[in-house]
Amino acid sequence: MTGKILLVDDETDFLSIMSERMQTRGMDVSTAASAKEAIQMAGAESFDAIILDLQMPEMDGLEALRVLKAQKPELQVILLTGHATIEKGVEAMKLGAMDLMEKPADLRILAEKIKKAQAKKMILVEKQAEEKIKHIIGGKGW
Amino acid sequence: MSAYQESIGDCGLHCFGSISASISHELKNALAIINENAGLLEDLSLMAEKGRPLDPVRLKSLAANIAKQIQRADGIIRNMNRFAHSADEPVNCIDLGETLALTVALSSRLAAMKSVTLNFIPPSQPVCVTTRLFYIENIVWLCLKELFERAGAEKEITLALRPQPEGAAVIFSPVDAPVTDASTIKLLDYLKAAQSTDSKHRELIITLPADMAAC
Repeated sequence: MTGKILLVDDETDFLSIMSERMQTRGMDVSTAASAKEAIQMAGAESFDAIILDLQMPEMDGLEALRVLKAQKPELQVILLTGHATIEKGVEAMKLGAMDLMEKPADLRILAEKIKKAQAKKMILVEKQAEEKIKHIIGGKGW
Repeated sequence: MSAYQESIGDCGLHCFGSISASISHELKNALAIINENAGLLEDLSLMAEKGRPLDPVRLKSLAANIAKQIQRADGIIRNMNRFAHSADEPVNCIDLGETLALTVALSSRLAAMKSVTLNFIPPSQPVCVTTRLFYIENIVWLCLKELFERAGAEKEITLALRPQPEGAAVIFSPVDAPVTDASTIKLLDYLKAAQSTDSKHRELIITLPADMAAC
């Protein structure tokens, strides 16, 4: 499966091994070792899904999620956490995360969620394009 | 137990809980890396079954990665064990240098989350006070927690220890103002410890009495 993924974690040992495994599964993986770097990259490129660690220095995953969704509402973000609680899950969903997974994550399950993220993003992008076209047609009064 | 003693107890529980949670997060990170390395070994095995040759250099590096994370996790658990036991240690003559080294290790993740570099200068000779081991961990952790939040542009805190005629001084630098957190002040008061600042050397000095056995 080809999908453009951004993997974000301050643990660089985790980033390198996880991205290698995802690449062997045909994913096009970019990595960022901080939330700030991730926000810059997400602004410059289009990703099907962002896998985002919850606890990072300077800016944590929830704050990064807030900024990322404000930047690009169609972005699909899957959060990774060392300890998934109901409260964290609810907060993450309220901020627009697609899912929350606990570390260590099963890559097979994560890959399934990434597939769903791709599909969801495609639907949202198509909807946005539809609305744009409607707006243009409406504006021109044809 | 008085309300005052209860609040000291609550403060200790909060410290214990926060440090325990931090330890669990660090362990989860080490486990996640081990998990992915093991997963990659599995992936490579499956590819080898389909005819792709195995690269011994790659296998060696994966084995080394796993060993590195196991050592890391082992270090974390060793510190966790020492910390856990400190809660049931009775009043004793304790080596402040060893205690501060442990507290610095336990606070390193919190420092990293605040992007602060935490250093410790061990004393050249043992410096001892009589108290419960956990109280020292608690007071130092509380001070560090507040200082991490306040860390200026330098984003660096250094901890040092100086023997005093009547006890010991724990020095935090560079720090320009005393700690103000209510729990910290209460615990300092409970231990009959004092805080002061040295603006010339930019130090926060926590002076611990030699004998806190009565606390």
